[in-house]
Amino acid sequence: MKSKPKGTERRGRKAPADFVFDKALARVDQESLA
Amino acid sequence: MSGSAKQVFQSLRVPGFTGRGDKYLGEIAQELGRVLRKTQNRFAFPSCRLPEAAWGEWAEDIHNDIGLWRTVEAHQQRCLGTPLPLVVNPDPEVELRGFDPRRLQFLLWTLWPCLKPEVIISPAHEDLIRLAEAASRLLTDRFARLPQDSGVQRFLATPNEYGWDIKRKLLWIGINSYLFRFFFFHDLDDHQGEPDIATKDDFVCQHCTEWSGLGVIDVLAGTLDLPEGDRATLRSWYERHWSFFRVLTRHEEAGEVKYITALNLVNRHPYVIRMDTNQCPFTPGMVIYGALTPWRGEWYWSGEQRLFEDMTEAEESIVRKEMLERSSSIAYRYCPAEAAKALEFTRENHAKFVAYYGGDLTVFPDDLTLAAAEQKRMQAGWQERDAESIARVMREQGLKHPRPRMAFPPEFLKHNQGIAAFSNPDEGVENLLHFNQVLSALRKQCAGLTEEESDALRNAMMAEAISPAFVRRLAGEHGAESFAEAFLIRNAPVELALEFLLRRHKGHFYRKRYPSLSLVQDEKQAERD
Repeated sequence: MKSKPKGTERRGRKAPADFVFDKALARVDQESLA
Repeated sequence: MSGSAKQVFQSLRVPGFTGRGDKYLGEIAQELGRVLRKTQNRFAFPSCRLPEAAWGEWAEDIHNDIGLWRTVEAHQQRCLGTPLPLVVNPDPEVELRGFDPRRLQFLLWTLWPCLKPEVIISPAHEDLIRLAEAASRLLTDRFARLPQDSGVQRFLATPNEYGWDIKRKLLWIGINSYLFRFFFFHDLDDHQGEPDIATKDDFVCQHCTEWSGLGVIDVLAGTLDLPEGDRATLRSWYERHWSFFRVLTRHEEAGEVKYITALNLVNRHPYVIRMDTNQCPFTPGMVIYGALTPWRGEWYWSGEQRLFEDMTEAEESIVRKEMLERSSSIAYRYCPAEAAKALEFTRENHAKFVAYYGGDLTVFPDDLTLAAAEQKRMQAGWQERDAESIARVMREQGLKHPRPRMAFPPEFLKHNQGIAAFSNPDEGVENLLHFNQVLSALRKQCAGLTEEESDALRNAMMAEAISPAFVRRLAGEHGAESFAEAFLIRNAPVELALEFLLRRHKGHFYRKRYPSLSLVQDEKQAERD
């Protein structure tokens, strides 16, 4: 197996996240957008 | 209180928690603002003011014994022998009470770099002292009549059962409290960052602040009423387990996913991850890239996650190889065997450095001399290995010459002001630019430093990559007087000043550290794993 797993090149801080299952942080983020 | 001031003050409070003393804080802050403006009229920097709300919030902390400030003083007492270094000299008899002006002096001096970073001010500056005394008088008078009941205190007293209970408090303290919010925004400015989820999570979990190196996790751990084991767990949150996790099982109850189990694909360890949600998209077989923090025997997601729905088992070895090679300092957190091996190699490299240069510190006049000398040293090191292993590594890494690739940061290019290379036995080689100025400054032992020399010393002290071991190595040879002078610290023993500066600016070195060396994973080994 030589090829890299799909998507791993795009991982990291700048790549868009799929989820935020950090309840407290998601809540703070929502409050700051409100 | 004016509408806008009230709005700012309200935005900093904890939503849903109000104490009987809270309604007075805004007015006291406003009154304090008037008194301080009057006091500051004749100051050298009258425009530099700590926002009134922060004085009021600090007083609220002291008045209600909330514990934020108490944690800072206890930490400094433990590490430096005095609760307020540079303001109160070490003395077992010293006892600080209430709104002692020395506390306010230390508060304002510590936050000063966030308010006016271009001006270095002495911790004993007379303006600071006068300001602190004026604020102390007013706060003592006004708070004497206030009930001891605060919304912040009520919020912090809520249960700590789940990881997200703790995280909510951590975020409030890190981003809203008087102790950290100025550093949070200062950090954003420094890194030209956005206050997004990743930035907030990084700040509250891993950033060490100028409060003598304390992070938000350390202050929350010292503030909350927790068993010692929980405190230790919370203090470990700077080592989030970033990795790829393959979901193994999913446990549901009453229509909710209570928790999932997942395998860390880098260290092959299973994790129990608390979810408590009816909207969990994770099913067995999926791979999630994210970070986990522990709390009371379970793990919790920290920040954001990315999903890899179709990663095959055959690809797992590549993921492991990538993490260990490209993010080794993260992988070492949960791969102790690899961390130990990296440390062993780092110590071997240190011994070779010392043998080659005749000591742990060597100085080059410029970038080209350094590059040529290091290239020669690396090549000599490689020649000790057998031809077959050299050929294999060259093939695997695509090297043209029998020596490792050497890459220097852009600021090294055409640098001709002296570069010191220090081999730290536990971390690797550290390079310090502008060493000519550093050396001339140290040799003066604080007498008549030029602006350039002071800048060079401050940069060395504030550089993230220069360890306390390197600074102590220089101070051991030349004395620490010039370091203290570069920060205008003239009223404290020089040893205390040095230790304080190291804690303040190099707090991350007092946490668990790993070598800056990545272990190149053998292709065949990686495929076998």
